[in-house]
Amino acid sequence: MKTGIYYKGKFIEFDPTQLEKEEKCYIVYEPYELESPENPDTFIATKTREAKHESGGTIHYHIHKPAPKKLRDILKSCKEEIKVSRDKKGLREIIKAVQ
Amino acid sequence: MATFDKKDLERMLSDIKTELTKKLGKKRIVFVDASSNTTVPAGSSETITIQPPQGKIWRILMMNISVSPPNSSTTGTHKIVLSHSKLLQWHMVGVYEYNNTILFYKQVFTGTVSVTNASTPEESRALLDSIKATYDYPMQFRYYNDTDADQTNTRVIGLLIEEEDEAE
Repeated sequence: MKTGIYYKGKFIEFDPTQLEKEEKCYIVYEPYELESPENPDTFIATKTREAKHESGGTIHYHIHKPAPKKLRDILKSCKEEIKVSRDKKGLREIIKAVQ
Repeated sequence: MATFDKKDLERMLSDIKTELTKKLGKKRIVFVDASSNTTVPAGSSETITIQPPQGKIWRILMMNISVSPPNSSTTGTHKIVLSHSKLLQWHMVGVYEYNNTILFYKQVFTGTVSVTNASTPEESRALLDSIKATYDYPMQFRYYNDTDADQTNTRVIGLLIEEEDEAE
């Protein structure tokens, strides 16, 4: 069985083991970084902790690792889908939805 | 080069908080310790999102940042960036070589800074005044470890924040 993202009639296959068994991960799409405005990059982000402040505010901590090359190559060819996964669902949830 | 630990930072900011509270009257002053000691692998980064309570607006009055370089690093840079979570643009940045400490002190990026857009208190003030955070639109610090060694040193980030109510 193939695994991937199915979106707007197009199936994008990739190996979910590339996600390195992160518990919570999603794709972060960064189109506007000053260093590479013409070359958007892709990261896998992991939530490490969340601290509730006494004022009622919250501090969220995430570590971002560059996505594995194969996954980056796949996602770079499909920019619109990456935006959707960032805004609506984690990539892992999308994978589950299409399996 | 001036350095300080977490206790020094808290004491300095507590004194400033007392003075500012007197001057600002009903506006609330909040101290936020956003420091982190999670390991940031070489080539990776960490996002620290500062989210106010619902119905509140946060503005940074003052901040202190201190990040020692990754131990054993031999090349590359590390940097810290303040940005708005929705714009994904670098708003305020301090870039340092692999062997220099990131230091935002006395309201400027100081020490041996390679690249910054906040090298004078006036520049810093203008940048900080133009970024405000709400529950739905938080602000973010991002630490980039672009050196060849894992970052295991604490990113010390202390913020003195002015809090006010959102208009109804």
